[in-house]
Amino acid sequence: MSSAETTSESAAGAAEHHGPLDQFSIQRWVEIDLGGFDASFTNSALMMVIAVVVVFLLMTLGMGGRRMVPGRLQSVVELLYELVAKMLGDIVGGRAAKRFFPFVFSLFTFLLFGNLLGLIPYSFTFTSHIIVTITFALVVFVGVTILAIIIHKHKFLTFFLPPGVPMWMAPLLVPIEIVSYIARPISLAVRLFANMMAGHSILHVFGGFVFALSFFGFLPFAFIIALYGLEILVAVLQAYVFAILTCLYIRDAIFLHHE
Amino acid sequence: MPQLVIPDYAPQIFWLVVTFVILLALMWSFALPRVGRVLEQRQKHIDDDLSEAEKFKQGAEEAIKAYEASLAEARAKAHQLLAETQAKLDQQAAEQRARLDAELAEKQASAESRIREARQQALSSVREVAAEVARAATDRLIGVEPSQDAANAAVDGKG
Repeated sequence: MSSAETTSESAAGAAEHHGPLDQFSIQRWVEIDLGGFDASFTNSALMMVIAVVVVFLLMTLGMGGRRMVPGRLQSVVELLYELVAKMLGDIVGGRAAKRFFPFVFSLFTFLLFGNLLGLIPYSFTFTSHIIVTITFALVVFVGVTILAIIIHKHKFLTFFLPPGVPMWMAPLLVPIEIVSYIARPISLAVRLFANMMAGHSILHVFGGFVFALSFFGFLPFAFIIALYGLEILVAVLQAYVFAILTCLYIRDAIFLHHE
Repeated sequence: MPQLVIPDYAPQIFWLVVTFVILLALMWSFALPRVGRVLEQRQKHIDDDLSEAEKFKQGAEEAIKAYEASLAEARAKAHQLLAETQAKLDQQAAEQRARLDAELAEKQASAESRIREARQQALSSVREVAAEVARAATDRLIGVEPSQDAANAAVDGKG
């Protein structure tokens, strides 16, 4: 699909999607060109901004009262805070957990609200794009690798040869370990993107069935309702999985294989 | 597949970086420390309350101990008072009884002496009458009136 087609489609009307994948198409609303770099404001960008605004409002309005006995909104904020704090504390622990807390918290809430806001009809799920998830995954991957090299210097290479393994296994094991290490960002990115895309596509397909079956349309409609509930679960779970894997990678970087 | 449209990558990466960095900065500098402070404060508050409750509990325990001690003391005092009163009453009763006994004994003695006196008197008058009768009888029988002393001696059985 070329960008010319996309613009002509959006000219015909943004709501007129047909294929189940059309809901993922990027629409440039404000063309911005930063010295040859395309920084256009798109539907994806809008949802990212909304996600940031929602998280920020939740954090500020929720803690506005700073009450000793939390209200509803404050409970949500504290729940999120303590969830991430506990996750980092359990997996990484110690001073490092405190240092990475803002990053993991921002990552988790950004993905969580990106996923959840995308479930609102007519909105857009920016996490359903591989480029978004791979960017996040690469930030985590590169960051964690640099962290490991800073902490362990050349000893970082022993990460690819677990302790206690006989030397003659090394030629076999080291490539496997390296491949599995490099596969990390890919699996991280694909897991999130594929989950989001698959769920939304299925919802769209069954939405089409509702009209195609006229009277019996209530059957796929009931399925959509059930699936929507599942998608909410998936949205939360995938954000959680992304965050928890990030914690695990941070831990690996700090402790390598030992401990 | 819209996910594979390469020209769309640049704006997505750009806005992703911009929005996420803003979010990270906001959370790092402002939102998270505030939540942390509130949670810390609450933890401190709870700990303070707990220690205060512990203090209160200790105070209550001490008060109970003091109360029990004073209760025991009062009970002992009451016992002592009771015993003292009992002793006093016993003593008083004994005294009273002794007095009464003495009084009765005195009365008895005086009554006895009175009886003895009366008897003595009665006896002596019987002697006198006997002597008189003896004198009169003797006078009538033999015409000799014995002396008073002889009559008395005869009555008494001497001579």
